[in-house]
Amino acid sequence: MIEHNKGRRLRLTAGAAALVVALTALTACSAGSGEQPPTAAPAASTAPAAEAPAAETPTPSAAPASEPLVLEASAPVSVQIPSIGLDASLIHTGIREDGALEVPPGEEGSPGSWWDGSPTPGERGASVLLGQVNSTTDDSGVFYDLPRLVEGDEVRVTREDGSVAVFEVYSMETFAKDSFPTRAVYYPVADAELRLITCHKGEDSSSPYPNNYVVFARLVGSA
Amino acid sequence: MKKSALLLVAPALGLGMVALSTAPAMAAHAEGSYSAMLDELNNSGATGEAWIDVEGASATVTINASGLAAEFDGAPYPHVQHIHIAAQGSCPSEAADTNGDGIISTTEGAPFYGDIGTTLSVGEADKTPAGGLDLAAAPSGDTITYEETFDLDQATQDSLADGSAVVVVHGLDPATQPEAGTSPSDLVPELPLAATSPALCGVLEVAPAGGVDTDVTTVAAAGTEGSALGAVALGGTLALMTAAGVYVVRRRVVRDN
Repeated sequence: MIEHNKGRRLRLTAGAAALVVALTALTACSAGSGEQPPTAAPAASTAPAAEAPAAETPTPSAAPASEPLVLEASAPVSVQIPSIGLDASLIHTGIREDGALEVPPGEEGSPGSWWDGSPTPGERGASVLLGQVNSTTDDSGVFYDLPRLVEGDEVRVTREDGSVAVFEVYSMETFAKDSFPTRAVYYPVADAELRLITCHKGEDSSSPYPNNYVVFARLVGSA
Repeated sequence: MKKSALLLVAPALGLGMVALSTAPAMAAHAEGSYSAMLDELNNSGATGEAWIDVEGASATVTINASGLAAEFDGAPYPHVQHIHIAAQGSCPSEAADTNGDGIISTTEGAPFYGDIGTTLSVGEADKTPAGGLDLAAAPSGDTITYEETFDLDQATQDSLADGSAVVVVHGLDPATQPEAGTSPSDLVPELPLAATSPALCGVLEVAPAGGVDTDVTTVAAAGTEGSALGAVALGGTLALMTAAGVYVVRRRVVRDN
């Protein structure tokens, strides 16, 4: 019924856990560096045929041509984004009483989170990861560098079963928080996809972060 | 195409159970968006998704599905589809096949997803439970692309709000089913069991409302639980004061009533 790669188990766990501590290395922003790169306004998914991501570790398994690539459910443990040097552990967060998403803590060095109402990364549907753009003590939170991602970049999510779901970025968008396109972001898409969400600065000086920055990625393999 | 309009004997249970379920914070109304991944039942081989936007009592329902049975008696296969309500708010596992005939019938699935609350019929056709088996008003063929806007009844709104609303799409190809598939249906004895049994099922989950407070500033302003933010105590205090103010205003409104 569904393709999966149960047999592949990586011994990444120890390494992943150790790297989490290295998060504070991101704290390299001065007052002037709060500027975010301009946002590309991508037209839907015209991503080139997924070229196999450069394989430092095991080569991601190729997706069978006929069946959509989908992994068995397994909760995420951490996320790695090589192109921006991000490696963060992930906690599980839910929905607040006001209906908005609960977010991970704001202290410096805090992890990102997986919204536990979304599919696990690699399952069919849109899996949602959240990270603070800043922290209580400085400008750079765990997802501060998210706007540096470009189309084709690789996002790896290490999961509890030891497997790594490998996604490829296909779109980046900025949305005003007060007109957030719920459907465009959370729609239960037929393929296994990922949404990375953080906050984003805007022109409006009354609020430092009036926008959300959302990165859209799709599953291209597993390791 | 052969049109067989069949009346559904609307099960009368349902309603009382709503009151028993735990009331969510947003209680009475179902305002917001809901999504469901639709997974196959009875090895139907189908797959799909549902999305519902609710404003007041008005709902815009989107269903996309593929891999369903394509033909029945030489005509496009009608797939009745519903929002089932007021039970466990779950989809049946294989263990639901209590008579062991290899097929989870609509009746056997009912303890999990409940009775019909809303019929997702096409066009102006009846959206109530009474229209539940009107094959002529059902989408047909192996692929469903459905989008309709109409008013939801209170029972369906209540189930959406408490998480017990489930989308079910019916209709299996008897050729893909065990022998029992050709025996009389539990709902409509004139039809084979496979024709009325569920092919897709998905629990409707509320989608997050609005933007995401992934910056420390707005988290503090929102005064949320869960994030311990010692360094922004002032913001937190202000938020608390605001919350208290709202509370007082609410009490006044209640008293004036």
